[in-house]
Amino acid sequence: MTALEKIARLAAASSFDSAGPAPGLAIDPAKVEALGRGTKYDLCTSSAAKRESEGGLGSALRGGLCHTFTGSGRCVSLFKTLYTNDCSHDCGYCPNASVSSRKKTFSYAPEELARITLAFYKENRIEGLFLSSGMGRDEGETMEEMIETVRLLRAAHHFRGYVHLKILPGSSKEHVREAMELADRVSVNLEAPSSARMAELCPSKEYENDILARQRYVRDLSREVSLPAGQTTQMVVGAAGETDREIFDRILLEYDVLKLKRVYFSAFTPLAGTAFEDRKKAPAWREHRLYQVDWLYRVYKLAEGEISAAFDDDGFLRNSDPKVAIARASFEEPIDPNGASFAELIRVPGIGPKSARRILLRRKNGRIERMRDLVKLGVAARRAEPFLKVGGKAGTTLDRWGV
Amino acid sequence: MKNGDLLRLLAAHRDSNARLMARARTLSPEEVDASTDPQVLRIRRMALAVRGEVCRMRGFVRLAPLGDRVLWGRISPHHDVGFEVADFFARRFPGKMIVLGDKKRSWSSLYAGGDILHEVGGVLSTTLAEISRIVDLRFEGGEEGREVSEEKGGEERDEKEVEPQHIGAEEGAGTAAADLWSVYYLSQDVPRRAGGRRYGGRISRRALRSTGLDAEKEGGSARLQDFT
Repeated sequence: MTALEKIARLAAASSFDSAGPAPGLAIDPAKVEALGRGTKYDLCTSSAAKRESEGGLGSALRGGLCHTFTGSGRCVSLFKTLYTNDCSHDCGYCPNASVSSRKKTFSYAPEELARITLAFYKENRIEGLFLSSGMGRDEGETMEEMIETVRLLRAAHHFRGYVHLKILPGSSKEHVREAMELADRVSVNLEAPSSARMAELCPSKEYENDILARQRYVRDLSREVSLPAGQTTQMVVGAAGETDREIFDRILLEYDVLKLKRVYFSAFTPLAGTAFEDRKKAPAWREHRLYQVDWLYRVYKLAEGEISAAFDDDGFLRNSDPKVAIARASFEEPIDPNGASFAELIRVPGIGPKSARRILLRRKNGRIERMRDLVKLGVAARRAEPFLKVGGKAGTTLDRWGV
Repeated sequence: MKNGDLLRLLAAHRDSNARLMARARTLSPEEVDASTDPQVLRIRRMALAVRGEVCRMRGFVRLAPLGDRVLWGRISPHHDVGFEVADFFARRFPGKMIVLGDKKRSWSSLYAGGDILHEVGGVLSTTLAEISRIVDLRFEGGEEGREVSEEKGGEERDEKEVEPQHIGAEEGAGTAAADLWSVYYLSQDVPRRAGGRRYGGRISRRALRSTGLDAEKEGGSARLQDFT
């Protein structure tokens, strides 16, 4: 018997159909389109959790994987969909709002959605499921059906792939617990930085009770329920007149008090048929600059006081790298990479944690005397040069550099 | 990068040689990461190139069923990563035989009983036909396996040459999942509507031409009505 024959016969004898059921043929494409479109502005990364495939179908990679990209370059990693686009809330920016004039409502059934997810997963089109939803007739009923979908995937189909489950505003603590037991990541959409801004965005949502209280549930339950990829949230930027400083102050609370893993930002886009369709679109760069500030706080561990230098007097970020503004406020003169600490190095634009660590390692084998050596270690020379003194001299002084 | 990982990745690179492997064996993870020595930089770049290809293969390859026990897809890697990719999917789908390859080579893997079994073979369609004969499987028709090619400067493949015509593949527009996927993909964005440069930086024309990314190939011209 050849090796190929042995493998083929073993596969044929396998009693465990790990690929799950075939997809049904009667799924309405209009439903898939409408409920997929409903999550177009929802943000998520792919998997950030590790699940062993032993005894089940699939796995979740720690690093995630992109299976394709949208036209604007965004990674498509998960099957991102609404459970239903029926919603009793009246959020002014949302095409699923009860007041939206261009809405036809659709809903999945748990088994139907589970089968579509498995079919996409089996063909390697996705890494997992991102399930959000409108409120439906009742948030408890809709949340129950969303949980049932994931329960079917996990229990009936032994699915071990990645699942990100949205917690609907106002969900019960028991539903939050069940969601956490089944999903890799859960999130409650914050949308606005304060209750006053929420009143502007969505008068029917109670910021403290519907949103923050549910985030606290997740934080508190995390002590007893394992949630591999933690809790996240997302905010709409620029729909309610809020400043970037207001958003930044809110994300400090989200990280420090509510222990979130990540905050995502979505620049407001006015959509036809919504209450805010005539409002001005927020520039995409604003979202980008907020991510940069978020990164400086969360990954670079810069203090709130330092980051404040990136905001103008009105509380907005400029359309330029906030790290440069912070560095210009922090450094009185260029620093020598041969003597600088890790904390000093990562404050230099063009040097990140990885290249800073490489510089420290490289220094053990001798001094860094040329900018070329820093480039080989991953430093972005053009941005870093004004802040560095290499080989005893600064390439470009801070004064000459645009001051 | 751990030394074991470095050696495994470097060995898979198409330009790897004994001299580079010998040097790599002497390197600590810190040296690999932080050295500015040209040879070490080359070793690091080669290892990262292989790792990048494995990542793209895992993401872009589309799998299709052959009977209910085999999943197959087409890959044509630039480096020697066939087993790395096939074993990955074998672990992901325990008990399913994974068969990947092109018109020259194929890699078959199965994860069963806590072990990986794998075998390298010749032309993909011949391997699939052989498997079909052994276990009396019949190709279910529907979507054809998809190829991810990383070869540089090669001619675009004649995809029909590698289709398993002789094992019962049926003409068809694709699986129900493939059509649903096209609808879903279009719902997320209008391809190349904006940020064309960024899109091109993520997926090369070669990948679009030769992989199973059908929805992307449409270039945003498909409409929902096309699927109803």
